[in-house]
Amino acid sequence: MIESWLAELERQLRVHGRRRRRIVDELSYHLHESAATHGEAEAVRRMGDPGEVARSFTPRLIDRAFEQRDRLASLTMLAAMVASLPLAWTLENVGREGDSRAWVWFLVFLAPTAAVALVSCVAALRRLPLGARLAGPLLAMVAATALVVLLDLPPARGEFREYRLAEIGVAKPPCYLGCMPVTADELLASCDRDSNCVANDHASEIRINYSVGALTLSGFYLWAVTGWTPRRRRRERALA
Amino acid sequence: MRAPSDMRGQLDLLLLSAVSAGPAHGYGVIERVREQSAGAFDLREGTVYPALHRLERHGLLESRWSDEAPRRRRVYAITDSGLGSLEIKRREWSAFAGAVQAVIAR
Repeated sequence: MIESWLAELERQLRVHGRRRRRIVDELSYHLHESAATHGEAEAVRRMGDPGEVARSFTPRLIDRAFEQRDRLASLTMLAAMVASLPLAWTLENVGREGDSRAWVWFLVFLAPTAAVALVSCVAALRRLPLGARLAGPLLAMVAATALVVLLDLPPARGEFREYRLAEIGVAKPPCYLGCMPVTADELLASCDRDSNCVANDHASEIRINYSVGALTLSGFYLWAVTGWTPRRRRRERALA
Repeated sequence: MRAPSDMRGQLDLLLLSAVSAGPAHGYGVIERVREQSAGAFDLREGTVYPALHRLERHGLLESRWSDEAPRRRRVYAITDSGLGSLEIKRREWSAFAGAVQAVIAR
């Protein structure tokens, strides 16, 4: 009776590999243990319909995705970080000759946030509590970084100034003001006055897109790995 | 306050609470819940194992095979995340039960 129940379970089970073997083994051991106390018929009755049990082990795709949301968010965060590296590198070096301050900029300004994100994501992938603990500080660091970039504070100000100069240089080499030698400040001021000069628009787009994107992703990551939402926080406070 | 009315939430609370008393295999968890509830909760065994697997996938439980005689068994233990989740579920349930009690006691 137990063997036929297990055979029916295996027939209907939509789980594969090691997990499948584990389920069948675990329920087999359970049924034999239960049968030793209650008898085979009662053990099978208490376990229930094999088809229903099999379906319980096969959650819908949307449920499985929700259960794995912390790992999905970690992978998304890691993918976004990796994907942003070539773009950041290109932006840092556009139109510049010789030595670039790209690595200095990256290490001083972005590396601490990137390091926290990396540690948190790896920990979250391994389901270690450290991943969730770092998610809040990570969002705070990303928010601080975004604020510096959006408000054009140092060191972002210097970097975007260099970027705008580089783009003006690429777009209008070297005769932008009638082939007259000009200072960097004069070049930027002339760009501000020139409606056809798109360097400022591009710099603003980069600022906003990167900042809003990073903030959104960090907020999503915080929710995914901790389940934290402002509403839940209020409920926990009320219960406390 | 949102009532913890769905059965899955209550089953999770019962299972986490039972496992928090010490590592146990599935059959032992069911027996523990039955004994601690004085027979009130005679859980359908076919629902317990999927729930234990789900809690493990959530990182709230961890498990390993135990080859201690007389049978090979999968033994479940609660994780740090599981303890945190259990504490939240306990508080939610206490608040809910207290509110119901306050209403029906009038």
